[in-house]
Amino acid sequence: MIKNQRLRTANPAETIIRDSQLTYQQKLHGLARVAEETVEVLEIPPQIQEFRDQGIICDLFEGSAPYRPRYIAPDFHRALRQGSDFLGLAPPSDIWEATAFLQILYKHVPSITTFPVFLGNLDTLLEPFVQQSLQETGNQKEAEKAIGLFLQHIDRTLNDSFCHANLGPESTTAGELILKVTAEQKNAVPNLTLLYDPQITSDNFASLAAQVGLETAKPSFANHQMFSKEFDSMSAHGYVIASCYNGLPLGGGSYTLVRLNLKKLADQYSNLEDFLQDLPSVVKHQLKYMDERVRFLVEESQFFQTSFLVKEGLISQDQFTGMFGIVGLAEAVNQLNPTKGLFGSDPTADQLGMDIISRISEQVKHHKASHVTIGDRAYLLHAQVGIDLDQGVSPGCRVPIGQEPPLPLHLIQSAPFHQFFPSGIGDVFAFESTMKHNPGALVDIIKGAFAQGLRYLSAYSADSDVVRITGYLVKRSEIDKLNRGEPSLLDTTVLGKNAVNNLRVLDRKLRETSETSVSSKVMEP
Amino acid sequence: MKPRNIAPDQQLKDPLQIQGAISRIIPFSSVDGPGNRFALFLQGCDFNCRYCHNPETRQKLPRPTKQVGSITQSGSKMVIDPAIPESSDKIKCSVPHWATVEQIMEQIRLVQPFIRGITISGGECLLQPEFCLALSQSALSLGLPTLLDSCGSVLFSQLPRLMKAIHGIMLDIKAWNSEEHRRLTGLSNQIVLENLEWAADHNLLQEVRTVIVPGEFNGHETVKQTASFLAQKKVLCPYVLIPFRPHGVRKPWNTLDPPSAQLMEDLRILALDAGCKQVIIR
Repeated sequence: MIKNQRLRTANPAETIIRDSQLTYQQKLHGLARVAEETVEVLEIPPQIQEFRDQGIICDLFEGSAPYRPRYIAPDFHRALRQGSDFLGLAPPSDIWEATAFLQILYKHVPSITTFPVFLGNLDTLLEPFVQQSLQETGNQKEAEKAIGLFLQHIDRTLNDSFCHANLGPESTTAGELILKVTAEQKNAVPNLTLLYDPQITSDNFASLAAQVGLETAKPSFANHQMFSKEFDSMSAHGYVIASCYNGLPLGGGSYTLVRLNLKKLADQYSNLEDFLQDLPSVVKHQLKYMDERVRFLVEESQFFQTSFLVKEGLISQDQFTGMFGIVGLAEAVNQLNPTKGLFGSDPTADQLGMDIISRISEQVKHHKASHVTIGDRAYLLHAQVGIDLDQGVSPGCRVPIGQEPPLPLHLIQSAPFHQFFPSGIGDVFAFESTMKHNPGALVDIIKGAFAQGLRYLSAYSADSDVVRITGYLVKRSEIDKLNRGEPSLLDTTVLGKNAVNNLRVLDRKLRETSETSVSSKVMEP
Repeated sequence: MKPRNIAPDQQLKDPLQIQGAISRIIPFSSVDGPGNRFALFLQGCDFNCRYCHNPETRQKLPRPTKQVGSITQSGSKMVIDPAIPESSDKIKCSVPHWATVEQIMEQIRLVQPFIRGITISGGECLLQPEFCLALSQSALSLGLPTLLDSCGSVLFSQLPRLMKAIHGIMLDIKAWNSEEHRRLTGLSNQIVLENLEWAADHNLLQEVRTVIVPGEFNGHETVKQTASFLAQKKVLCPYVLIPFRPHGVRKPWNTLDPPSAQLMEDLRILALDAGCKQVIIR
């Protein structure tokens, strides 16, 4: 998901330096990636390299010398409790110290994007300080101001849409204030998810979250029951939602994410049987490539030996996993399905998709990764959400834009796939703006979807400035700036612009839920 | 006024086989009551409101000559009656047609996990009370309560079994003055006002609505009288004021001016001042 196309051209550094649409910070990051690409330390067999050259196996520009884990999910609760020796910070004693503490700590959490991809469960982190402020001042003004400045600081300094904060599942005053400020500020950063459990989260809080979601395209909703149960069974210390919608162990993260482009693989075959016959070999090669990347990171980069995050117990290597990604299932199915039925609307196509995912899942489950302890030492399957350069490749297991069935059927079609992807899968739905007057309707849909086994759901209103691209957020007004040749503060705006052009994400089917919008249409499945 | 669309023999049938004239279905609706609802719009209406935004629902459907879903032999071929919809194993949402309660229930069961209840609207749903009763009872057996969306042209008190089977009524008060009401809709509002009182007394009002159309009737009087009535009856449900919108409206009324935001706000304040507890502009 990193714009790295320039690295493949002659003198990529100079190209970056001369790019008038990049800010200083964006140039700096780009130049760092150019430097990394000059280091060749991984042992990559020819067959794997061939798959990489064909785009079948893709490491999403993770770099040729892994020197830090791709995704890190620190235990921020522990940090607030104990302070930080390395950063010279005492445990905070009020809301101002707490938000300042987090702002400082965030600057020292690495990731693939150079910004932290997980910012913590903000409401549970801040709730004790919010309650303290309420008691001392008698009203919410101080807490609301502190939270407003905190979120603004995040948007302006961690200016990357893959910075992701969590809320819930309990309803809290801090959570209500975060949602209130989010609705007012309408920023694309941070990405936000409510860990939703209808048996824990109050209907009022869920409705508030839905209302804000329809206004600002966040929060999304994660199936807390589903995630909790899975990560408990893996012996993880808990789970977080990070980056786009990645489910990761709390106090750990993911070493790497490599994706298998099923569409590009299908392009190599003229019939389904040959594809299925060769699939295990391709999966095996991707697993081997992941193992090599992890090996270098763990055994040679010294990250886990030197990072203060490890030394202070905020992360632990035994809580790290790896993510085996897939993308383009719909296109692979549509190309190879002998009945020619389309994925998303034809049962034979959906069944074929289920067959392909099941096979990959089984094989990944039985592969013992040397440096993974949790989850029976297996990497986790991930429905990769696409990159801005993709054309004609649908994210994960999604139905291609333009072929979406009516919403009820879409939810029923999608849910069965979600069980295979504990490290993340999600569906995005655009609703007409009338739903803002009745957010309870969205909560009802989410409750039903989660009961069907859906893992993660994002919604936004067709008239909001902030929109969900594939898994991250961008402002339409910021895309307009790029279209006028002006730089955008957010480094993910250009990804959004490219995704709009290449993936037609703004042409996503509008989910109409009022009579006036369907009065002259026949809604065909 | 008696409901017109009941054939006496229908009352002897299996309730699930009672037929209803259907205009359209919206499996997920966020504007027909609280939460996400399966909204069913019945075909046929006695009113002829000038500002009606779905006038295609007025026309009553001729009753089919054969049982719904029947297949007849034509020469060596089997022919499905073209007036009958195809198999409802997928969601079909438009084109007026007859359907049995069971066929509608099949579609409701498909979306049951996602909905809070069902709403029966129209047209005027109370022109088909037996169908509404059978459907409401079936839906309730799945734990799904029914709301009715009615213009009040049929006496509620004459339909006791149906009133017991539903959860509430969303009632339109088109105009308070009877002559204005007749000019606007083609019929007097005597039964409508009787229904308003009956529903209030029986705690069945889910929502009361008035569409504001400047120049077509005295909006201030209607809002004030309706709000005062609700206050007097201590009704707590929302009084919803809806600005006229020309979408779907027939000529020449599609050229009428929508009310200004200021007018809507003035009417909202008027209703609150009259004692109405909850007034919403939608």
